[in-house]
Amino acid sequence: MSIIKLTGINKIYRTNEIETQALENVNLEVEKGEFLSIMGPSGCGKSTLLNIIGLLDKATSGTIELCGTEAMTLKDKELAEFRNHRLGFIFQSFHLVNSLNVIDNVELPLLYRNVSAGERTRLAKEVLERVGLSHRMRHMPMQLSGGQCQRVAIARALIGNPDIILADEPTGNLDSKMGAEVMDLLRQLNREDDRTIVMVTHNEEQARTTSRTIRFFDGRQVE
Amino acid sequence: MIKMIFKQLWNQRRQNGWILLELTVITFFIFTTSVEVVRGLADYALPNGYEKEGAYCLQLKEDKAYSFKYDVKEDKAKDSIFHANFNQLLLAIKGCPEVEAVAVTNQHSFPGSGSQTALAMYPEDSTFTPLNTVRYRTYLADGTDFIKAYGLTDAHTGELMQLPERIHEGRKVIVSASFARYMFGTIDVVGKGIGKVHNPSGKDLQEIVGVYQDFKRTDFQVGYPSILTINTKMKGQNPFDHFIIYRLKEGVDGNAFEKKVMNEIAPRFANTPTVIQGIESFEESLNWYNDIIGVYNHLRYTAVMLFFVLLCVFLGMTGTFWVRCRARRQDIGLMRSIGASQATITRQFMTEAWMLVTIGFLIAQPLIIHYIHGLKWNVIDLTAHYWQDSKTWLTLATDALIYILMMLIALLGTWFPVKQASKDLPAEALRDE
Repeated sequence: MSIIKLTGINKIYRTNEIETQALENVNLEVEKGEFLSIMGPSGCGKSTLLNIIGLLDKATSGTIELCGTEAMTLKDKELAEFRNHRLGFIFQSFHLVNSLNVIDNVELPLLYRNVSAGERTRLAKEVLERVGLSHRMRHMPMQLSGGQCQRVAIARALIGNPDIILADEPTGNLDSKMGAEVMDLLRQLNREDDRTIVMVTHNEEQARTTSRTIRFFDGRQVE
Repeated sequence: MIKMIFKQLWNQRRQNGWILLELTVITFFIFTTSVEVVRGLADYALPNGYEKEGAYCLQLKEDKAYSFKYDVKEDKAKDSIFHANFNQLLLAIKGCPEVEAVAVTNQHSFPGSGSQTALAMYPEDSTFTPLNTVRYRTYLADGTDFIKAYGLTDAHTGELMQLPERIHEGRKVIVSASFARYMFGTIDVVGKGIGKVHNPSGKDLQEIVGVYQDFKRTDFQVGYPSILTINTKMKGQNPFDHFIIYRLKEGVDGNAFEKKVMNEIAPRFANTPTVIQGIESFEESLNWYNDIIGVYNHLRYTAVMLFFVLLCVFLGMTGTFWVRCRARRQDIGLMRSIGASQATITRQFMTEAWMLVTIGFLIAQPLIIHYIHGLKWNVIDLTAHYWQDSKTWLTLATDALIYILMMLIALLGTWFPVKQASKDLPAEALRDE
């Protein structure tokens, strides 16, 4: 059964003078437990596609079905709830809240789910232990290395126990050693938890380690 | 949520230091300008304690040139033509069918007096510190009823007072509610004695025969402790130092009656030293008095200042909160990506603004207390019969007002940009550099 199903997705950016087709008639199905990597040159629409799958952006046309839910029709509150419960995001530039320490950053998704403070802390500790950062819980993001920041972001994506993890070039800002560590962690999550992961990457080697790779060029799926 | 916001504020205390400094200074600045307005409005809201509508004051003047043979001093001493004229005039006014009641007061009595006489008064059998009291005086001629003419109200019932029965016996006094409270701690003081000397007794004593609700000499003052002394005779006093106060019956046109007085009654005194200088309604007297003491200008100036302060504060704070929201567009994008709805984000930023304003407001409090108490700000702090007379209550009331104002400004200044920013697609907000 497909956990992600995109049908006829088009995305057009319009300004006063220019119209740019970022995605053209994209049809994609991702099975539960699959680790899909999306590759292609810069500006080909990979991140746009990931944002549309993650409901962070709106498609100009087409339909998106996630976990059996028709996502295009959801209202703001339902969308927020859907993202909170079903999706986990990992960004290239981490997007941690610099004014909160590690454990508070990780707890954030549960805060919006109205989970009690004690339960939030317990789950955050558990997930930080899993990503190997239990000794950095009280550190501020500025005091961490890039790899550690990305682990915090992974922990934040994991804490809500989402069905789908969406990673936009998660190793793009890391050196090769740290990148490899992060990839190991993602593979482990996919293997052990049977979690569906969709990852945008430029790295051919990393893509080879995933269960399927699709390629984009000029907004079209070419492979 | 609040705990998380507080952590964020604390962790960014250096960056937030500036905004807190701004909020502290603003709180203090608004306080200094609004405290006077609060005081003025609180005074204005108090009942006048008398009936303005329908009351008029007839002003007299002596015509010293009416006869070169006429000896003013001689006449005063003999209590002759001056007093005869005055009483004829009083009777003429009283006899008009349009007139409800008349009274005679001296020039230092309300209304229309730019000055007032003050007395230190003592209660009988007491070592009480003398109470500085405003003294008004009335002259009891036949048929006058100053209570009805003024429309004074009873301190107990709030209804129109009745002329005390034993008022004509002499050495009787009517006191205001605040006078009674300050001196005796109660308004049940009828029968008690007061005097102008320490431990008064016997001939020094005047008996209290009534208690009226405080009346205000201007719209922007509280009714200070006052007493109304009653003179049963005018002999030896210059009638031209007195006013004739009259109250018209309901529905009578004041202007028409003034014309009648000037056209029909005034000519009767054409060949006497008595000149009717003019007629002023209580309303006009009050406005004149408010003008000469400068209260209008003062309040206008303060209100204009307050308006500009609030405008500047609104623009400044809105700008600050706007910049603050826009600078955190990425954070807003992130919050939405991990499950915060637009309403949640708006609520979170509003809560943050509320906390910042509250902290700034609290930090400003020692400055405000120093301003009110340390710099001896000019508030009459008696025993706080009126809350606005108490520095503590006035500070609290002004504080409450400026807290609400600052909160409204901060929340408005936050609501617009956050609402806008949270409407952006998360993908766009996250791309923001």
